[in-house]
Amino acid sequence: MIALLKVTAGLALFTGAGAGLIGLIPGTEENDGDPLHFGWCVLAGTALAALLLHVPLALDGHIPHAAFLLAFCLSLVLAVGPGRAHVRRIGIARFFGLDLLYALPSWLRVVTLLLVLLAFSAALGPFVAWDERAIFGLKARVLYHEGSVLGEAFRDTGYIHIHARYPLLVPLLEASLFTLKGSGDDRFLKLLFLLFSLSLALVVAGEARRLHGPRAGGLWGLLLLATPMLIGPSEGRGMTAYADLPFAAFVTGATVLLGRAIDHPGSRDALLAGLLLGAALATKQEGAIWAMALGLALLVTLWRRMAPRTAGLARSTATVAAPALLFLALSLAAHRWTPAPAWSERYSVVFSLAWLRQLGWRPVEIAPFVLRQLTNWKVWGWGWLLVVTGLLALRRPRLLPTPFFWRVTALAVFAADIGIFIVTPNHVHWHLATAFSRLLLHLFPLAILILMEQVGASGWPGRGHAEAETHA
Amino acid sequence: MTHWLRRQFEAEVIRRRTHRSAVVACVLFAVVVSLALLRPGIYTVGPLVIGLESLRNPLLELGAAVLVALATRRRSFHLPFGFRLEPPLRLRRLWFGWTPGGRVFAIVLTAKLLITSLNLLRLPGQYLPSLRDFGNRIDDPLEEVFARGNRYEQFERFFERCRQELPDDARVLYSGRSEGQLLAYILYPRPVFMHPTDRYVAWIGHQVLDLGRPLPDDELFPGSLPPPLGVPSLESFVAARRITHEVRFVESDLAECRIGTIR
Repeated sequence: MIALLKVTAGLALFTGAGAGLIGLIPGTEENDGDPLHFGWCVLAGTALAALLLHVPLALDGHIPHAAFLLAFCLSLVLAVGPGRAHVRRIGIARFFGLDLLYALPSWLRVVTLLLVLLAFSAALGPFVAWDERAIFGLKARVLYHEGSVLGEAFRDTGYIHIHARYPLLVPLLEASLFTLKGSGDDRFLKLLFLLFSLSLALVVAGEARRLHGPRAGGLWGLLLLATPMLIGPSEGRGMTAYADLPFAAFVTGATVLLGRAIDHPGSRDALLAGLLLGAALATKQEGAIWAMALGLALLVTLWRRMAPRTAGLARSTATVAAPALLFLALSLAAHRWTPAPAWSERYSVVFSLAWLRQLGWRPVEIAPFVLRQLTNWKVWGWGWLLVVTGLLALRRPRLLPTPFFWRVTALAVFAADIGIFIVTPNHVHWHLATAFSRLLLHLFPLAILILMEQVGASGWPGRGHAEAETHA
Repeated sequence: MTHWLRRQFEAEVIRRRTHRSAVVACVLFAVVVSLALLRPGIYTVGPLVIGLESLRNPLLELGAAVLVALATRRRSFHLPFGFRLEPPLRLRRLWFGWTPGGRVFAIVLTAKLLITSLNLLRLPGQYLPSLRDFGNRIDDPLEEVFARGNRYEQFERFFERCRQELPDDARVLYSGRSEGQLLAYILYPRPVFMHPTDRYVAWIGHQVLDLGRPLPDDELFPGSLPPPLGVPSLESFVAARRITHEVRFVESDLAECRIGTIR
């Protein structure tokens, strides 16, 4: 019970740090319709803590227990100072998204609470899945016990430590909780991932509330949360300690905030977006794909809008890039002592013309798998089917810049993901089976946001199609 | 009129009693859920034997009790779950007001909501294994576990034995397949090594053999190439890392599995 309390305290400190950081950024209170609530604070707080924890590792490869405790102390200071003021300004109910819950019909409130209770009970158990132990858990234990990436676990290629060069954000957060618990026991650590699940649902619900009111917010948030891939406990799903769910939360948060920053260049949203994008880069290597996709989408959106405010946009871009690049630099620096796997150079085959020439049939080969995955009800609950149907079937007026930006981002990321499977030198069916659903998880919250916007703009179900046709 | 009033009165009495019973059931099942969560097991209450090893049934019962309590509130007695007659009528009006695309979306959304309900009902059963590793079978002898033929259960149980038997300062050489990645986590802080050739074969095996597929007939596929050149001999690998113990896991063959010292 004491260990559970310690982990809960650690998570509360991360959240408090996020609230404090947001409270320190000027202009936070002017958010229209969606205040920077609990979900945003979790994302900002974990990102900030991870950024701080990367610093000692990047400097000399060591991270003593004192560094973890210092990060918690700083979180405490942020939480009780600007964090508390931020929560007061918003109000407890709106901060925790309770207004979204109250806006739901009573029986859906019961379903939501039961779902959260159930997920909470599952999060109390130990790590049992593969990557959560072999990749992230092992790193976390090494960082906690040895306080370094210079030991044999990271530097000896004979040590069984797969993907030793994976980004360290998740292991660092886990090692922080180990430090607070005073042991490397992994029980209760999955609460961190439940927190990311809830934050992601709240971010999506908050954006839906901003656009279409609290009832729509609650419904869309619940629809996302009830997706098996987000809340399920099997390999790679949200309730395992894989890095995919935190990654999805960070990239969705960054995309939403960047979308808002398009409408208000130079605002504080850009700074937070940069921090979350940096956290994504330090969580999974796919962060680079998202960074490029977001950059591309931004350019295309601005080109389409022919925005004349170049000075403001340049300032916003710099505001986004600064924290993201700092995070990336620290993450790369922390890995400079870790050698690449002995056979990694063989993957350079993807750059050879001979290899690329023979891949003509790959798209045909992977298409059935992709279709099966998108329509898999046990994994996605037909969520993707609903997204595609909504986008194709509902009529709507012309796209505004933010939803256009979301769509270009989603398309660019999806195209890049498919491109990876087309050129992969791994056994393609193995690669698809092990990675494709997790890559889709990164995109799914954004897809739900796109659908939400489409449904709202089309006027479905209430006001009817006439209004949409008038606008069109 | 009197008859109608009497019927209304009887309905009101039934509603009130049902509601009261449902509220009591909510409290009772909340206690049962807490018990199943905190102290799962089999309970004997007088002649009754109550199995509380799974959260699924208590949660479903709690959910049902809450829904009945909500449905029998004074405000929404006419139809269960707070439904009234207006929504179906409004839905009918909406349906005829929608475009064909809007109707298709409505049908897919309905199907999606049904699927989501089904998935939510399956969820408690999926959570159970993550609460307790391999349920009640944790005490089964290894011979029985290997006889059952589940590879995951075999190596999880065998690795647990390794964790118990190996000394704290052991430095371990692993022979087997990709499951060695989990052994490294389970045995930590005892370091676990694998010879590069074995590890390479295990990695390729992880990709191909686990799926039951043959290697692609393509010399450019990395797995088709021979293991990396310049790997040390097993003896020098062991000596350089001061390895003291060996663990070998062979699927479905307990006799071939081994935990031993290296001289």
